[in-house]
Amino acid sequence: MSDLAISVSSGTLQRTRAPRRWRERAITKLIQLNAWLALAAIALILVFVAREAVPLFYEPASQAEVGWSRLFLPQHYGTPAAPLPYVWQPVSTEPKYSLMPLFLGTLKVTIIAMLFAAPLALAAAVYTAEFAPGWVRETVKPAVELLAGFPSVVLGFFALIVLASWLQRAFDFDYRLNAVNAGIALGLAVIPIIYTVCEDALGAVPRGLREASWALGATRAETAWRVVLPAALPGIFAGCVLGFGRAIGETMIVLMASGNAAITSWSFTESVRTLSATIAAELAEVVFGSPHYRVLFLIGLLLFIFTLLLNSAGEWMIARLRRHLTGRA
Amino acid sequence: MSVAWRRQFDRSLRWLTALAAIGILGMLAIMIGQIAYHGWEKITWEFLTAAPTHGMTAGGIFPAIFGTAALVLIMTVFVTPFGVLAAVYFSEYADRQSWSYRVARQAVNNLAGVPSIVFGLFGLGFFVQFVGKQVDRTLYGGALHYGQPAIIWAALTLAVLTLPVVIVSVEEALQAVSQSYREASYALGSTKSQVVFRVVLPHALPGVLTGAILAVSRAAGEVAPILFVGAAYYLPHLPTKLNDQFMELGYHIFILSTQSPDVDATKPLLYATVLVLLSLTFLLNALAIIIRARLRLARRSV
Amino acid sequence: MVTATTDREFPLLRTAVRERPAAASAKEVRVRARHFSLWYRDRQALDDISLDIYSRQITAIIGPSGCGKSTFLRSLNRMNDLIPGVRASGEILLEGHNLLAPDVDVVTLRRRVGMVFQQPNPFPKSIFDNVAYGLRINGLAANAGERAARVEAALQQAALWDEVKDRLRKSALTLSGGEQQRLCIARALAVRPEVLLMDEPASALDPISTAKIEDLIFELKSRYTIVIVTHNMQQAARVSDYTAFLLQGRLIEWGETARLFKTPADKRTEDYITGRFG
Repeated sequence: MSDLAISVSSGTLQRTRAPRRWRERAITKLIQLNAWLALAAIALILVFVAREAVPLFYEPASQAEVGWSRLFLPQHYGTPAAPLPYVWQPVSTEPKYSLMPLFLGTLKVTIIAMLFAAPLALAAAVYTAEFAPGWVRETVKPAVELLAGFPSVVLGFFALIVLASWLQRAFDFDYRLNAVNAGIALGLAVIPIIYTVCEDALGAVPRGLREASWALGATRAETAWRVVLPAALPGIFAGCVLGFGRAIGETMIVLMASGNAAITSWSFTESVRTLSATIAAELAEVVFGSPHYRVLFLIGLLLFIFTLLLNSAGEWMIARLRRHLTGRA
Repeated sequence: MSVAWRRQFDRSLRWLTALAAIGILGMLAIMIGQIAYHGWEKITWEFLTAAPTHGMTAGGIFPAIFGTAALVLIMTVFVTPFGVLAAVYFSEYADRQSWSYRVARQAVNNLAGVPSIVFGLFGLGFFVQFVGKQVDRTLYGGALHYGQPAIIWAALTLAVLTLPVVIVSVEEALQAVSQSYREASYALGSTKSQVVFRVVLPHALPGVLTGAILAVSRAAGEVAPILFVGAAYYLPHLPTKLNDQFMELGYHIFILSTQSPDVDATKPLLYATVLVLLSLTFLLNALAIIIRARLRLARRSV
Repeated sequence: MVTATTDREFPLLRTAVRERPAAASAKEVRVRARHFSLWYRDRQALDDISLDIYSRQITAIIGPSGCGKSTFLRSLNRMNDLIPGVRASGEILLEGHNLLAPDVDVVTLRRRVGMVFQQPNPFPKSIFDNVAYGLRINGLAANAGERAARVEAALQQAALWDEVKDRLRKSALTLSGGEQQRLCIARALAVRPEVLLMDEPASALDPISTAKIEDLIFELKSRYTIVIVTHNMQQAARVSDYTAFLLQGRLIEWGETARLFKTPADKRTEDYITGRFG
C-alpha cells in the first residue's frame, strides 16, 4: 500500500497503542471507501436513469405506444402528414417514436464537427510539437485552453446569433439553423480535447527518434511525417475518439444552433435534432411516468452507455501508446 | 527526390500546420471580440446589481449572478471534501498495481466523460425523484418540499459532475509534494494518516484551491445538468432556502436566446450577460493557473 | 575479427592496444576544424578548436564530462543548428569546403556525415524499415531490389545480418540493447557516409556488447572516417588512431593515440589520463 516502508505499527520496539491503531485503520478504510465514490456515482447514474427508462418495456401503457420496433424500425402511418417511415413526433394524436431521425441528426452534426475539428486540431498540434519556436508554443497552448474553458451555452449562443447569420449570408441555406451551423460550433467545442491529446501523444515520442532522423538528413517535415506521426498514431486516434465522444454527448450547442427539427434526411443544410437535444427540449413538458418520459430516459441511457464505451476505448488506446513507445524499448 | 522538392515539402507542411494554429486562434479571437464588442456597453454597475425588468428587455441580471454564486458555493462545500479524500487515496494510499486502483481510476475517467444531459437526467431521477421524495417522506410526512427541483439538488448534481476535476487537480498537487517531507515525518514516528493530513495535504493546499476554482469555473458554465433540477427563468425572489429554485447565468442566456419573444430588444442584454459569464469563467481559470504557477515556482526554490 | 595483442602496453593506462599497420606516410585530411568556437546564448562551449581528422582513421575525443566533446562532435554534422540560440565562429572544412557556410545544404551534409547516438534510438518500425529509412528519404535506391541489397550490405557491415536476416519485418524494438545499437550503426551506414560520428556509442551497453561494438568500429575503419567521443580512456586507447583531449571547451592537445597516451605533452592531459581528475 504505502511506498514508504518505515512503519510504526507492530513489529518495532514499542507496540503502538491500540486506540491509535484502530483510528489509523478506520481512517484508511474511510479513504479506501471514498475512492469508490466515482464508481458509485457511475453506478447510481446507470441505475437511476435505467430505473425511469426500463419500465418502458414492460408497462402495458407504454408498450401500447412504444416498443423496440417502434423505436427503430420503419413504421407505416396512415396520415399524409408523415410520408417518411421514420418520424419522431411524440406529441400528436398518433404518437410517433422513431429514433432514426434523432440518430441521423446526431450523426450529421457529429460528422461535420469531426471533419472540421480533427484536421485543424491535429495540424495545430503538429505545428506546436514539431515546428513552432518556444514562444509560439507558449501562446497557442494557453489559447487552446482558453477555448476549452468556453461554456457550451456561450458557443451555442454564438452559433445561434452570429455564426448562423454569417453562414446565411455566405451560402443562403434554406434553414438558418442547420446541421452545418451546429456542427461548426460543436467542432469548436471539440478542438481543445483533440488538440491536447494529440499534442501529448506527439510529445511522448522520444527526442532520440527525432535526432536519429535528423542525423540521417531528414528535414523537420520529413521527420514529423515519417517518424513522429506514425509513432504517435494510437494517441492521435484516441484523441479523435475522445473528441467524438464529447461531440455525441454535447447538448447546449445543438439545442441552440441546430434548429431542433426532427427531420429524416441526409441533407446537411436542413435543421436537425440530436439525441441529447431531444431530451433537453422535451423533458420539461412531459408527464412524469408517461411513455414519452420513459423514452427520453431511454435515450439518455443509450447515450450514457455509448459514451462510456467510447471513452473507455480512448483511454485504452492511450495506455497502449504509452506502452508501445516506452515499455518494449 | 531532389533536395529542392524536399525543402518545398518542409516549407509547405510548416505553413499548413501554422495556418491551422492561426485559424484556431483567429476563431477564438473573433468570438471573444464579437462578444466583448457588443456586450461591453451594457455592463454597468446597475446591470450587475439590479433585477431584470420589462420581460428581460431591461434591468440587470443580479438574481442570475446571485443564483450562480449560491449554486457553486453549495456545490463546492460538497465536492471539495470528497474530491480531496479521493485524491488522497490515489496519491497516497493506493497500490498502483492493484486491481481496485485501476478500477477506481477508470471510474474517474469515465465519470469525466459522461454527457452533461445525462447528469441532468441523473439529477432528476436520483436527487429529485428519489432522495427528495425520501426526504419528504421522512421529514414532512409526504408533503412536497424536497421532491421537486431545488438548488440543493442542482448543486449536488454539479458536485458529481465536477468531482473528476477536483480529484485530478488535487492529486497533481499531492504528487508534487517532495518525498522528503513524507520521509522526515515518518522518521519522527508519525502514522500514515498523520503524514498525509498534517504534512502533505497542508503543503498541497494551493492545489486544493486550484481544484475548487476549476470546479467552480466548470460548473458555472454548465446548463444541461440544471435544466430540470432547479433553474428557472424568472423568479420574484432570490433563493434563500435549500429547496428554492434559482436563476442562473447560463440558463438565463439559454432561455433569453431561444425563447425570448423579442430577440432584437433583448440582444444587447444577452451579449452583456454572455460577456459576464465568459469573463467570470476566464477570470476563474486565470486565477487557477496563477496559483498553480506560483505553486510550481515555490516548489522549485525548496 | 582483429584480436587485441598485448605487445604494446601503455604503462599509464595499463591497457592493451591493437596492433595496427604502420601509419601511411601521407595522410589525407578529411575534416579540418580551424579556430572553431561555439556559444549557447552567452555561455561559451567551445573555444578556438583547431584539429585535423584524417581519412579512414579513427579519431577519439576524450575529456571530462561537460568539456564540450559532444558539442564539438555535433558541430561536425551541424546538429547543433537544431538548438535555439547557438552561435559559432571559425571554420569546419569537409574536403576543403567550409560546412558552416550559409549556402551549405544541411540535408546533404548529414548524408555525408552520419551519426550514431549514445542511447540506441531505433524507430518503432521494422528492422528493415529502420535501415531503409535513410535510403527512402534521400531517394538513394532506384527500386525495391536495390534497396533490399543496400539494407543487407549495411547490416552485414554492422555485423548484424546473421542475427536478423530471418526477422527483418519484426519490430526493431524486439532487439536487445547491443543489437539495437548495431542496428543504428547499420542505419547510418546504409546511406554510405564518408564520415561516421559516434557519440559514446557503447556507454549505454553491457561489457560484452561494448566489446562487440569496439570490434565493429575497428573493422569499419577501412571504409569510413570515424570520430568517436568517449569518456572511457581505455576504450580510446584500444580503438583509436588519433586522440584529442578537450578540457572546458578548449583543445589541450591531440595527436597519435600511441604518443598521446605514452608521452602526453601537457600536464593536464597526463593528469586526466592517469585519473587524477575527471
